[in-house]
Amino acid sequence: MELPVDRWAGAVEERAKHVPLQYILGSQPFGELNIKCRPGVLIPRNETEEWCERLKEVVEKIPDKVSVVDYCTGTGCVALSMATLSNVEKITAFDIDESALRLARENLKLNKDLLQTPVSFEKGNLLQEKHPKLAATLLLSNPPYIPEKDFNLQGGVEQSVLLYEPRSALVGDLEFYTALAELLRTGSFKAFVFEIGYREQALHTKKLLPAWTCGIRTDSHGNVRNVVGWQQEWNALRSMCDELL
Amino acid sequence: MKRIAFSVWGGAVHRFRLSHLSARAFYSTNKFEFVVPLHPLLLQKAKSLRDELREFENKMLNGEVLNPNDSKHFNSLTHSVDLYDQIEKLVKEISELQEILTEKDQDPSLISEAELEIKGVEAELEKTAENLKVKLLPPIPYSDRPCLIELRPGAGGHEANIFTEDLLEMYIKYCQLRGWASNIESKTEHSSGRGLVEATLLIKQPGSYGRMRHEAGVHRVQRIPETENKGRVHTSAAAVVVLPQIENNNADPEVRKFKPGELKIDVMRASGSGGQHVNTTESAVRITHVPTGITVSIQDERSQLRNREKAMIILRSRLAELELNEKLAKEREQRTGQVSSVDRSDKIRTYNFPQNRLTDHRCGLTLYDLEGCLNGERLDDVIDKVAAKEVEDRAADLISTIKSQS
Repeated sequence: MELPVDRWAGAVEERAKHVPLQYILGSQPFGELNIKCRPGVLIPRNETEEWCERLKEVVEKIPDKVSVVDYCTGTGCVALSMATLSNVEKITAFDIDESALRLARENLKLNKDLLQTPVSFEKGNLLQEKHPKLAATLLLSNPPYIPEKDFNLQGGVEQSVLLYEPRSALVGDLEFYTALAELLRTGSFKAFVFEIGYREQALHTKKLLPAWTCGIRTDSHGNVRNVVGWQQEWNALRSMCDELL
Repeated sequence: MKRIAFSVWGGAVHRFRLSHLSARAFYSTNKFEFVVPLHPLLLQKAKSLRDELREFENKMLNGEVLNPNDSKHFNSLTHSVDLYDQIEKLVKEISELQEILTEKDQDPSLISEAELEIKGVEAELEKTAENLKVKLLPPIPYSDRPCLIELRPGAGGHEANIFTEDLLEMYIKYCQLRGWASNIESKTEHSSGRGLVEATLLIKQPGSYGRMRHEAGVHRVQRIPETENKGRVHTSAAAVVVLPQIENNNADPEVRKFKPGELKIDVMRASGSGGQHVNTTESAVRITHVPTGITVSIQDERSQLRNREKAMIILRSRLAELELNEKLAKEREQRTGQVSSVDRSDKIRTYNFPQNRLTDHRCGLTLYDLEGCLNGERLDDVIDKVAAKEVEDRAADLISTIKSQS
């Protein structure tokens, strides 16, 4: 269906070599969006799709206009998914990798009929020393969160991920959450949702943000998946959390 | 003035098979002579709707705004009362015509003309009374919806698979004839390439559920299978399930809201860390409705989210069907000593090829035109009869309910 018949045999061979299905087919559905996938850029995960859909339900009901910053955007899936909401007025998405930014812009074009808000994709390094002050309401990020020591089969990482997906989008730990907390302290944000892979990453984030109410969201497989935080007016985010910190 | 007490309606239910004409109740009030083929209790009920309508109209005159439910009810009331008024008008016409007949020294040509005219008015009266009868029955939930038809082979081996395919084709052709948009949602072919293991047809036409639900049940076929070399007739069967289609649209007031804990959603995925660690897309979803135990599994799409949406649509349809069956069963229970004639577990229809015969066991209709049925052209004749039988049965239920209340 998605591949012409003459490519089936090759596709099966590639898959047998653990090439991710999304790189073979060139796409992954993400909510109502269709996201183009290419080697060199992290494939959108079901878990990410799940929290984005949940977050959309909350944001949609916020009475004011909402502006969004998305860091480590990759294919652009998180930013584009927020752009489908009518009360989101401005979205800026950053990535350190030029090829990711190119792909994200292609995805913007591909899904433009579903989007209600312009999205600008810009180069940005989350770990740089100084950041310009960001004026937006909601900060989102799915930063690399697999610690170096776990980046192997024993650490629960699939062969296909190890062999074919970009290491720079995967390997990282607390330093990224430290940088994100810094953005929150200097910017005008009212709320944030970050994807995490480990409980310590949530606890670390909360420790850096004593003035924020924070919670942990568990995904439908029962794994910790997000650290969520908010100021008073965004109390609705509490409904996303399974546990308050 | 003659008054004939023709108490078909009070008798045993099997007597309802009598045609409408013989079931006609002659009924008189004051100066009106009613010659209405409708049970007096139903007529009385229709008359009482007039008062109800008047109440509504008063409310509206007082500037009250009707809520959507009331306004739906108001429309339905108006329609019923219109039909009732029309019946009164037709009855008056008949009695006027009858006066011509009884006049002394009447011109014979006038008499034959009047007789002819009476026949015409009577036919119209009968049609109007039939429409009114349907309006008086409690509405069938979801009858205004599109529908899903699920087909599965039953007993009979490979022949049942082939018959399942024949049925699918019959419904597709039927939709084409009626100009209804349809789409094969899923279809699994038999490994031999002939026949089906399962199929689901979506008929997008609003209201198709109200009609196609009469097709639900076990369909039986008797014929010499292509694979049979001794020329023996085999009997096999296929099951047809018809579900109303209900979208997962929260704006729709009829969409059922689920309580927390009512649904159990399982996503098939290997255990482990998930997230960035894993990129496999095992997107299958299984939803269990805990109170009823209904389970729906979907793995057609690469997106878990879309599978979940599809599963929810099917779950809602199954629940709606269950609800409807319970409602109809409850109605039936109110009829004393009556064995249900629309039991879905029974075979509902036989397609006999050697005799070129189709028999619907619910209404007793037999047609000697199998091809006409299987190419969809004469299916309407069958469904019409089954629908009429159901109306008759439900009218009997309603009458016995009214009786037990008074």
